[in-house]
Amino acid sequence: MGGDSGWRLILNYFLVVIVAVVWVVPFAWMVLSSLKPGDMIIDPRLILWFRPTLEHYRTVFLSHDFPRYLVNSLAVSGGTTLLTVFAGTLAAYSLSRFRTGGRLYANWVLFTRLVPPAVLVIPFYLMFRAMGLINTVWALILADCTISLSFVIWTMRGFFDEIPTELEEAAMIDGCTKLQSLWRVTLPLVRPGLVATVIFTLLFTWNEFLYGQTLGIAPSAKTLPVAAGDYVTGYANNWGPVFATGTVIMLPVLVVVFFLQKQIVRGLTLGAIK
Amino acid sequence: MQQRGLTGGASSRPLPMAWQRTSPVLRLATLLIALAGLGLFFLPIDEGPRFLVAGSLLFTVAYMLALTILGDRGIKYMLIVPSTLLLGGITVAPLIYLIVLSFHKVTMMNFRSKWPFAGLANYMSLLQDPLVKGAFIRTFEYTAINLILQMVLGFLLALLMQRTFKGRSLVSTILLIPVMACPIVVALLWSYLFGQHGGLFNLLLGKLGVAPIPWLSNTPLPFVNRLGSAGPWLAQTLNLNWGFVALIITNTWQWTPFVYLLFLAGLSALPQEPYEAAQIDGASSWQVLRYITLPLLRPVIGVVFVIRLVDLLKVYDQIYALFGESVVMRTLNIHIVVKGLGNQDYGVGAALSMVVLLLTAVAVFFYLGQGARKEAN
Repeated sequence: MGGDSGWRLILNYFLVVIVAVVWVVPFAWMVLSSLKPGDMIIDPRLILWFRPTLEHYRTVFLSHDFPRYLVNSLAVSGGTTLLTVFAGTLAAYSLSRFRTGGRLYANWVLFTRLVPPAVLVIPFYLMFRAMGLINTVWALILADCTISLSFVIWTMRGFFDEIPTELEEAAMIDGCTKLQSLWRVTLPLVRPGLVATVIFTLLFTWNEFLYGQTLGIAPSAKTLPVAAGDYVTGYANNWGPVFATGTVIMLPVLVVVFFLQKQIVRGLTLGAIK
Repeated sequence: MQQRGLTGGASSRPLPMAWQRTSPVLRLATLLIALAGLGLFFLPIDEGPRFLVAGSLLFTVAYMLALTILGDRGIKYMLIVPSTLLLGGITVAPLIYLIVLSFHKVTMMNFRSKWPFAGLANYMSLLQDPLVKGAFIRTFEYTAINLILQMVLGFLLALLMQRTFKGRSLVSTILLIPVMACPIVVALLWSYLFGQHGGLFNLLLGKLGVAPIPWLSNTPLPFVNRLGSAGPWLAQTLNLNWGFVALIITNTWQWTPFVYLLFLAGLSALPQEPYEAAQIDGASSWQVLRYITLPLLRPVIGVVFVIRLVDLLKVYDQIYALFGESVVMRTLNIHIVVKGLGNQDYGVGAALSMVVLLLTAVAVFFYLGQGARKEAN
């Protein structure tokens, strides 16, 4: 676009550096602070050089119920993903190939995606309390399905739409049933999309806060984001454990971003561009 | 390789025959799930989780058997059965419950006894609640300002990143992190950055010789003082304070990269011909942007707008992490949780939830309108 003169190039790089700094520094500051001794975190001077310590990680891992929260978090995101990817992929296939339920069903799914979670908090709380599910991971798994099931159906439908039907038809001529052709022909073809969907579902539920905070605050169901949020209320300057927990929560996110960048970008932009 | 897949044959046949033709692995799995489901009923654990899990396991077995028997008959409806049950249970049932609650006087006190019918009283009480009015204005402002900022900044970022330069892939990786990051962690982090004790911003401002800014308070913005007697009223009604600025910075920081990502994908999907033609005609970069890029990108702009609008209407965690349930920073979502679960006034909380739902429904309507326009084009 246009001839890039020297000045333009410099301006371009200048802006890019600003962008990189703006989006790197906060996270870097969090990781850095999680390694600082407690009193240095709230020191009113700019400290960049210090002897790193793992004391906050030790505090978090040993003295709190951290392992339990970690297991809860894993159970909730694993359970929700298993449930919604199973139910959602089958439905997405049906919607993509047979337009089952027509516009009505598709709009229902879409509408579910748009409902703010806070709207459902009161009925969920009362229903799950009546069912004896409050403060269990099961309540969180069910509640988180509202966020991810519609996402799975919508995204997977987009991926199925991209696969030509001829391949399935050929498989069916060879004597496969519809389900067999889905299992053996179509699913392997949408595998990249399926992987992206699974990762998104895992991360969305891993990051979820509102349902965790309202439906499962007892240690038996507390998830990591809720545990990190616990430090909010006290105006005590207890940032060390917050950042240690925050860094642990961010670890899978970083792994995914660095190793599965392509799939994520594709998954994120699929719905918007088509 | 196994010869038989999930179902036996194309046409329906009695269960024992169809069963014989399924793969041994599948048969074993079904048997194990069935045994686990049955066994769970007799475990000495709490009733709720026990019935839920055992029920789901047995449902899975029944569903697999049904698929085996039916084969291809009604397969399109069979495939949506699990998701319909799940969606019904977690959206339709709670919404019906919500509507019922919103028309009754239900609090913690009388939840287990009779609920007097309240008509529109719960909705009327919202009109008299000054906190609702404040939260309404705040939600609207928060959504509108964030939306505009993120759309503009995200678009500029996409234009910048569209060029090829050294280190581009590193910067695009960096920009992907906030999109996937946990909102509550982001907000806690910014709460620290804004803070009075070791907060990075005030440290940097101090280095520049600027007095520290009370980011996490409702101190009015500096220009409010110059507005005369209307100043305090404006500051209070329109949230012209540092805390609100901090909220907006936090959300815009996290989600501008998402908007940029969508715009970048949109830009790279545009046809090349108009640009080549423009280059031959000697159009300036501004003209290319104004008369080619923006018009071509319009459908994408609409979709991005609605996606962000809907997500902004959902925000709860970031505001909670920065200000908790503070009265001066409450949005509608936070007020729902405080009213409904904090004060245990289920009826009024449900009425407020219905109002927020209606607001969202307007957005849905908008979205479907966009979709229809896209199809028409």
